[in-house]
Amino acid sequence: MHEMSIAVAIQEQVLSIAQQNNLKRVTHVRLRMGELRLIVPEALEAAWQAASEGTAAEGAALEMIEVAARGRCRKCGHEYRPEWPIYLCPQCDQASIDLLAGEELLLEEIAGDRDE
Amino acid sequence: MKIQVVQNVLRANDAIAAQNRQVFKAHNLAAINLISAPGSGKTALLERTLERLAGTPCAVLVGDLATTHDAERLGRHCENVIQINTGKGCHLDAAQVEAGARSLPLDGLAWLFIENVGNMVCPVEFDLGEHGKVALISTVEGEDKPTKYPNLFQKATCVVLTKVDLAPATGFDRDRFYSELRQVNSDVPVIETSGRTGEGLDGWIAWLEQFARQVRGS
Repeated sequence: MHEMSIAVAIQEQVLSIAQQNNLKRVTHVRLRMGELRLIVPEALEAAWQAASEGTAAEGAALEMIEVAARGRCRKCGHEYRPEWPIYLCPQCDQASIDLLAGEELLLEEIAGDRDE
Repeated sequence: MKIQVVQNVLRANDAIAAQNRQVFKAHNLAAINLISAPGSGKTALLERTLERLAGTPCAVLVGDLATTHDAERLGRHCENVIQINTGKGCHLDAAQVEAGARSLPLDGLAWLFIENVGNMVCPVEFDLGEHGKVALISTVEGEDKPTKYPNLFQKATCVVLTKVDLAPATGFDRDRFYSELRQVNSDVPVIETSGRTGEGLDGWIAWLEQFARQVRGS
C-alpha cells in the first residue's frame, strides 16, 4: 500500500501550493500518471481521501490522467510503446529499452477558491 | 481559480535520494538495493556475502515492518548493521536510508547493502539513492515471476536466482524462467546461487566487485 506514501506527498505539495496562492479551499487536483507506475487508482483515491481529511483539500476531487508508455530500443533504436508486462521491441524482439515516457507521476494542476 | 504546477509528486523523496547518491559517491562506496519477495533469501545471500567480503568494510541497512531478527543474523558477520523498522510501511524510502546512513561510519566503507522490505512491488517505486537494484527470486517461487512483477526485473541491474540446490525438489523450470525474464529484460545478468552449498557465490562476488569498480570509476 505505497499509495498512502504517495497520497501524503500529494497532500503536502497541494497544501503548500494552496497556501502560496491564498486558496482557502482546494476543490480539484490533477495528476499525470505514467501507465508503468505501480499505482492502483482506487487505492490512491482512498488514500487521498484519508490524507486530505481535515485539511483545506478535504473532499477535493483527484483526477488521474494516464500517460502512455514509450521507449527506445537500445539494440536497434526503434521507438515503441511497450506492452506491459512485456517490454520486447516489435522490430528486433529484444527487451532492452530506455523508457522515455510512462513512468511520470506529476502534480499538474490544482483548483480551488481564494480567500475573499 | 486554477493553478498550473507540473511538479514531481515524489520530488521530496527523489531529492533526498539524489543527495544520498552524492554522499555515497563522496565516500567512494557502492550502494546496492536488494529487492525480492519475503523468503527469497536476501538475508542469507547477505550473510554469505559478508563472510566472503570479510576484511572489506561493509554496512547493511535492513528494512522490515517489525523485529530485529535480520539485523541480529547479519550482525554476526558485520559490525555496521542497522535495522530499519517501517512499522506498517511496505517499502524503504530515501529519508529512512539517509537517517540510517547518518549513524554509519561512511568513511572507509566499501559497500552499503540495503535489504529492502520483502515485497516485489512497492520498493521499486522509491529511489533510495542506490547505484543498483538487485532482484532476487528463489527456485521455490514461480518461474513466471519476471512477467508477474515486471517492473522490478526491468529495472534490475542484476538478478540472483537463489536456492538453486532446491531446484530438483521444487521442479523449477529454468528454461521457462529465462524465457519469461528475457521478455522483460534481455540484458540483465543472472547469477544462480545457493546460500547453503555456496554454489555461485564466487560469481556473485565477482559481479559485485566489477559493479563497484564501475560505480567508483564513474
